[in-house]
Amino acid sequence: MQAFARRFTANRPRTNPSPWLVLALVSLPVFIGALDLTIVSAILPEVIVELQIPLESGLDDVAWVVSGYLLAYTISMTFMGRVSDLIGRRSVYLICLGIFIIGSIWVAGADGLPADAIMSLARRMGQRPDPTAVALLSLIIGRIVQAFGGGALVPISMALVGDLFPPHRRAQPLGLIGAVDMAGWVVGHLYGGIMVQFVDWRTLFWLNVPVGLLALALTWWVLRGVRQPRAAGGFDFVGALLLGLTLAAISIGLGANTEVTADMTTFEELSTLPPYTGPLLLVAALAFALFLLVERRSSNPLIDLALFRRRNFTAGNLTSLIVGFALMIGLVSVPILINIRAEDVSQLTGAALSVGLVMSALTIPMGLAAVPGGWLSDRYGHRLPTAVGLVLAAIGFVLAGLRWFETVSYGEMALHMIMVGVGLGLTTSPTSAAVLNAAPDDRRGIAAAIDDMLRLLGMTLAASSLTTIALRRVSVLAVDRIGETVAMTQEAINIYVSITAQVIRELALLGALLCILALLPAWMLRGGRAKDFQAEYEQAQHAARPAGD
Amino acid sequence: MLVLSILLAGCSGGTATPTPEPLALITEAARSIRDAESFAVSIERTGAPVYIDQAGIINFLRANGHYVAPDRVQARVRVLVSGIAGDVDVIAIGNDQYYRHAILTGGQWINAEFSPGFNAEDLVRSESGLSRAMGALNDIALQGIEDIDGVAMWHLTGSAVGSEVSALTIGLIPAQDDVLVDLYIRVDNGHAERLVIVQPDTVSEEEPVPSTWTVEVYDYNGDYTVEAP
Repeated sequence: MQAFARRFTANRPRTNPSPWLVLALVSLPVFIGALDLTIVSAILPEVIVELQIPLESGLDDVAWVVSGYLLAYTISMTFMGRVSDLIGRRSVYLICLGIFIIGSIWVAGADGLPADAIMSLARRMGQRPDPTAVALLSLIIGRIVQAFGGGALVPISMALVGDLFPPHRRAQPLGLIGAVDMAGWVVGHLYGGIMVQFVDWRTLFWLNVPVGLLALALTWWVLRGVRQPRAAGGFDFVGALLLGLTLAAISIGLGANTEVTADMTTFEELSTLPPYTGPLLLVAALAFALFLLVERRSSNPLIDLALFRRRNFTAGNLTSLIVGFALMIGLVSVPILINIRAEDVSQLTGAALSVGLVMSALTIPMGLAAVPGGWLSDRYGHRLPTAVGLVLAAIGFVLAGLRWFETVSYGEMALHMIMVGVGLGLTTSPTSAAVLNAAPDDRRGIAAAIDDMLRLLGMTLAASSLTTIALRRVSVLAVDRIGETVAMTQEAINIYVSITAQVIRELALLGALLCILALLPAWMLRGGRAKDFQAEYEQAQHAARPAGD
Repeated sequence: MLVLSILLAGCSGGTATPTPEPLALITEAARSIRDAESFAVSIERTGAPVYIDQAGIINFLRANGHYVAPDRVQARVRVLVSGIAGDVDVIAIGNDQYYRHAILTGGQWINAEFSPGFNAEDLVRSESGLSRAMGALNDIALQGIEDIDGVAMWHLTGSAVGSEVSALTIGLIPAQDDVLVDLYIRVDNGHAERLVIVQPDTVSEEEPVPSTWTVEVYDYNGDYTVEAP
């Protein structure tokens, strides 16, 4: 009997599924995880209204629904690939997918059971928090849990490529995962904007559950037949902790916003930053310095810093970081400008669709422009298409900075966003190629992950800091425009709409400035033409041939 | 030893708290509110909306604040205007009131009436204020002891005349018909901690859930100050 059991448990021969089938199945959760990165942009106003979050004091906290996800997604991306190297792809992938599903359930019911549990815990500890704040906190926790699972799926899938494909066949599957990841967040707002016309925002997250469970069953099945190599060496716990601390401290520090207290008596006080901003940024700087030190000395570093000695690797990643930041300016500005024009909450559902459509004018061209970007990079090298893209994006931002008044048409907004999207999209292939080509063959997976991570880091930093910058600027302008008199409700609202549009125009000009700034690392990019690679390849082949051939 | 502990606990549980007279509990709770030097208070409305302005635009959600004897109150009032939530900070000292709102007053305090006729001393200390409201409960019944967030409380139920509740709360609870009341009083110190008022007359086809007010009074004699801005 025991022998029979052994036969069917250990070392049972399994049929190996096609690597492309494995890739297709593991890509589905990657897509959903990325979709949830941007899905909230369209539905956030509905969330604000339903949870009864006060705009003047709660907007900075609401921003954490977006930046909390981005932060956890980025942190998870940095080290879960390595964790899967050590304890096996299949188990780590399935656990992370499970975490994503649990996070989705949490988000869908955030203001119900989880919020009640947090409230009960707080009250038992003698606290009486605002129920709205508790519901929002619960939502943010759910989003962080979701992202921690979702973000891990990208590097594990990329690492899986190394298990499934020989080195010379990894470029295409790696590109596919990158494309699936990008496609997810590119269509997230449009999907959210369309779906919210028919269903409650919570349903969008409930939908993740059956899809996630199906993906869980399929990947459980398909990964059974995949070889599970375990890497030697240890996990860089200290490095992971320090990097996580750096990212969290910098995001919270930059995102630290006005905290209205009863002691404040003027708007000037309202616009000051809380006292923990400086210390948190200092903690971030110290943690990052320590991280660099630890990584240099570690025998199993989380990130191989030696890669940054390569010119194209550093230049490409720096460009990606700035591009991520600039991209977020577009992603943040469009929903705000469209939603502030809604005359009452009944128009928010329609506004969600408009947000999804105008944001798609940014993200879909960005995704599509990656193709000509790659082609131009092959033909003219990495530098030219990157520079052209950045200039085009800068022009789009400048036009937005000059034209986005509260009366601007959606068509005109879309036109400017297309320019920004095409511009930023042109940079993605050349910078990614520059980063990948600069890395040795055995480091290309981690190189691709670092490039993705830095683009997301740019977006995270933008999401957390832009809300602070925008709200502070709005409050400063409000002091000038409203002064010490009491305004009539409609008059005050009109002033705020006008001020918000002005701040968005200023943000767009900041986007243009960043694109111009990104020209510096872009200009450092070298090579990249396909014919140069061909020549190098032929030269290497020739050198490898035995003499006399 | 474990068995002995369980037996002792069982014995003490059976004789620990004699059932008090509901009226005596309420009288003592009302006195502790009236005599308090300060306390924190929160008021939350759920169910059918309640508009606190004549035009029927400003929908009350909740208020959190504190009272300092004899006549000072500071609170943050959350309201819904056209479906959008907003906070108004209010300070009342005697008959003087100040308020501010990020948009309406540009975040500046202004000296104007937010709640016409409100006076904290009248509400808390006078014989015609909260004490009378609590004493005016009809059909009082003691339901027993309940654990509310880890604190043992006497649970009393009763009803009250709506117009009286409305007058005492300066129109904040605009009840006309009788309201149902659940009162929770701490077993350990006799402080009234939670009052739940249900207005069955607010139920309609559009709003099937009645307006329910949860008033919590806590942190008696806590360290609070209220100053004019």
